[in-house]
Amino acid sequence: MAHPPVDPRSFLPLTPLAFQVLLALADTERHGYGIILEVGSRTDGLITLRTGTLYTLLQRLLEDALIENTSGPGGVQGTPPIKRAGVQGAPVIKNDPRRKYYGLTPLGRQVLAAEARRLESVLSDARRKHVIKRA
Amino acid sequence: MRTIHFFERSARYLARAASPEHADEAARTMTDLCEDAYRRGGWLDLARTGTVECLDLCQQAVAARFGRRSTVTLLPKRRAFGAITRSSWMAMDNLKHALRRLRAQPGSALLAVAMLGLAIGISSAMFTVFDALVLRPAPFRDADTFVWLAVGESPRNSSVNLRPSLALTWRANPGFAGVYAIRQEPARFGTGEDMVTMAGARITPGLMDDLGVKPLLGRTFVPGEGRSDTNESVILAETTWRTQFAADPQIVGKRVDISGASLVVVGVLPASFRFPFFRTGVWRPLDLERPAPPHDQPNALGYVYARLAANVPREDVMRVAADLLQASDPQPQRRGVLFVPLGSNYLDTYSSGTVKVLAASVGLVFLVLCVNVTNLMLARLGARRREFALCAALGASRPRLMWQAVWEQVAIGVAAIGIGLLAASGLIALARAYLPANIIGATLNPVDIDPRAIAATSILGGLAIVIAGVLPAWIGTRGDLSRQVQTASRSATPERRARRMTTALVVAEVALAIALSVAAGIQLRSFVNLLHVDRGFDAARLVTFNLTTPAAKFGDDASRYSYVETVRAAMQSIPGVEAATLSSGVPPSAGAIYFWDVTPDTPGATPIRLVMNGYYVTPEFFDVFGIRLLEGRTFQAGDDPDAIIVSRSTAAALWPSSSAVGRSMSFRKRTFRVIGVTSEIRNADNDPRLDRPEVYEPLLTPAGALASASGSLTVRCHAACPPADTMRAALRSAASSSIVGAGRLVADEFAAELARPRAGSIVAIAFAVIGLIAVGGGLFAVLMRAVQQRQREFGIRLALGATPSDLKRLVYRNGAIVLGGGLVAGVAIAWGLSRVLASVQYQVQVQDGATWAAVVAAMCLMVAAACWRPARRAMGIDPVSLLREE
Repeated sequence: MAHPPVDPRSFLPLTPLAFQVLLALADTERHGYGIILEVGSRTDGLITLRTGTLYTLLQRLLEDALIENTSGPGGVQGTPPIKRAGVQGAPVIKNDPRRKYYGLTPLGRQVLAAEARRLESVLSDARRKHVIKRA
Repeated sequence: MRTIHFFERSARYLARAASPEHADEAARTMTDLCEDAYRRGGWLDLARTGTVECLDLCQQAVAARFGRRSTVTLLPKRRAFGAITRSSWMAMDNLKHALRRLRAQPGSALLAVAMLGLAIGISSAMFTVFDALVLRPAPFRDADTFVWLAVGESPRNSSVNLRPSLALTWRANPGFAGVYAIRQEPARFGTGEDMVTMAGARITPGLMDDLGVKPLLGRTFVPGEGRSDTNESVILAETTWRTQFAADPQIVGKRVDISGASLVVVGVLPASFRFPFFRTGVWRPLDLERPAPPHDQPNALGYVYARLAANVPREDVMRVAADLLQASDPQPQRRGVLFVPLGSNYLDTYSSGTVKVLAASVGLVFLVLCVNVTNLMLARLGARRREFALCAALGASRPRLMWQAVWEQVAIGVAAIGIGLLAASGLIALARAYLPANIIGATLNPVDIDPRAIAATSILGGLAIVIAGVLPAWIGTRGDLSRQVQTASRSATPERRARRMTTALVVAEVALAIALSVAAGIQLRSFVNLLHVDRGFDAARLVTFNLTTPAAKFGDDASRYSYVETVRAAMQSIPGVEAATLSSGVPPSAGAIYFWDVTPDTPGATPIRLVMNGYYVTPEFFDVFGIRLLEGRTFQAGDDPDAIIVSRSTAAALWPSSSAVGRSMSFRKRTFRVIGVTSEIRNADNDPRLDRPEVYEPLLTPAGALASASGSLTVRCHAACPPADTMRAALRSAASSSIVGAGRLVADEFAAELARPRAGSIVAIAFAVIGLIAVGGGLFAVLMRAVQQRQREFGIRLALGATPSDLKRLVYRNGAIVLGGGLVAGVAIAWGLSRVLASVQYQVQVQDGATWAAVVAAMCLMVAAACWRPARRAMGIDPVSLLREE
């Protein structure tokens, strides 16, 4: 028997950390360390994910079927290493077959989009009230 | 790098409590983060990153452990922004004040942190070891209702070869919720020189689930596995998976070669699962109903374990189990069923005693260091009495002052707990690396820092803070402080009461250090005695090789005799070899163990139950091993198969009042004629309770073991043995019909057993040295402070005619009083410890004169050294300049 469809809006609003993790997985599948680096790099170090927090969060996201375990970006074998561009001495992230990779499920992608839309509407309200200037 | 490895292991452990599915992944992430941090900012950045990440994991683990919902949620939580209370502000204020104080006098603060940290670290490490080895039950679900069904008179003397049908009969007993069988089956990985052998076991499916183990990967065995057609499954231990298969995450479902068979890996169990033995690396299934060959043979089962059903009285279950055994046992009169609880403890008497002595020593070290820090803190607070007096004069209450002083000690204590935890982790790694495996590994529990150890560390830290923090704060702020303001400027001579307190503390330290040193001395003397004990034979320069010879290669006695003589002659002809012999088994412990009712030829004699070590030997055996012949003769080439040589204790048990030579004894449905009596062979443990009498039978007879079983060829070398490879190559070419094993030194067995007393002595001496240094430092600090505070008194004494030598004598007299008091109390403590020490002492008593003389001498030297500088300071006081300052 098919499960009844889950309304993505029932997950809203997401915590900033959950949103950042889902956002990190939006373009490719990553392992935990990759997620930490991506979030840190994208937010210029404003948001730092800690290991314990990250894996507890990933467990919650897995339980809610927003993410899933995968075999790595494009399969593990033969994928070139990812390097953080423009940072001196930045770590090289190699695709490691021993690592667990995580990717968005269709539901996770819908939840991410719904949260992004919600934030966008918050942003437009802020613009309308001249809290920030229009782009 | 060890630090990264430490953080990785901590992350794996903590993540197992928080989110077990991600434990390995979290550990790898931690490694990556630490490597990044090290690349970026060196060791400091690495330590900071690792600590912060561990704290975060710890927070999640605590939330998961205590059933609280984690702070990590998908929906944002509602925060209550409560006002910061006044007490919080006060606490912050006190803390800031305390930190400022500590920064002002960093030397003594750092010393106190280091000493308390060492005390907490040593005690936590010891607690972790003691907890895993002695206190904690087996780490399985409802371990108290899981029992080993031992068939025999006692667990030590029980049968380990049971019929599968018996286990099935027991399974039908409603008093058992489950019955499982276990059989040892070593596992071999690789071939040739690279071959690795590790402990393995066959176990009945369902056992792992009953014990509550959750596999790291894959699954456990399912019912039906272990039959002829389902015999290919194998489960690996985490250690095996990591060492033999490089932690391959895709290992489940793969085929691997183990012991020459191609098996399918169905699961990986965590390293914390140690069963049935603490080093089991591989498990294979064993079905009880239709076991795969060769486990379908009679008497093929090993140990049988059972889960007792709830609500059925244990006595009833035992009675029914015994009845079922009686009904199916051909020898029911001698065998019963014992329910042996599944203990985690595999320590023998000696190791158990060693661990208890070390635990007692650690308790003493903890007290010595805490008392030392108490003294240090008293000195710090003593120097602040004027400050307290001023505060009191301005209206501060004593609780307020004491609270402020306690905060300082709390800050020191918290720092010490952190250092103690790190020290404990390092000490446990050291213990695992250097303590003998038959002490540190003899448990089903993992020996690691776990929540119990962290809790113990915190409790010990709290205790240390109370002893070394609250007590000095209470003492330091008592008395009429307002009077202190008036008197302090006129007189620097401290109260007699405060001086008595510090002296009493140093006396306590000396007493504890004396007890520690006596314990170490007794262990050292025991170790030296063990080195020189008479073992009953000369184990030096003996090398032995295992020879496995297929029985089919020898048709008759003549060819066997010729083969043995050829092999022996070939070995004897190697340069450097003095003599060679063949035997079944090598002393002290590799002989066959006989449990027989032996009947001597004395008229009217009844059978005597003897547990003996039996050896089949060639005539040269006694000369090669240096076993002394006390009566009669050794074997000769023409001896008949019924000739036997017995050891002195065998002879004494059978013929207590007459010579054994020429007498007869019956056992194994045969009658033997005694031709000689030899000296005893001591067991490798040197525990008189484990010594067994020996009997020797001729090897080259129809009853000889060589043709049907493996034997040992042992050679005695001249000054030094030829290289083992040379001897093995010569043996291989001479014994072409045999499989030749690697050579080993017979003395190694004793060396392995001596590793325990050696390790125990080294650790005890290290503790004693710590105690002595702490005592020396404590006494030095107390005397220096006393001299400094009594300068005015000394100046007046000098002015009234005392000489500098009189002052020196005064200081040394104070030291002697401390030593005398400590000696009296130390004797009492050492006497109290004598029962604990009895388990490790060998041919030495607690009142051993030499040990006490050495301890007193060491203590006198330490006290003299501690008095020297204060005495010099006292002698250098100039009364004129002192009076001018007044």
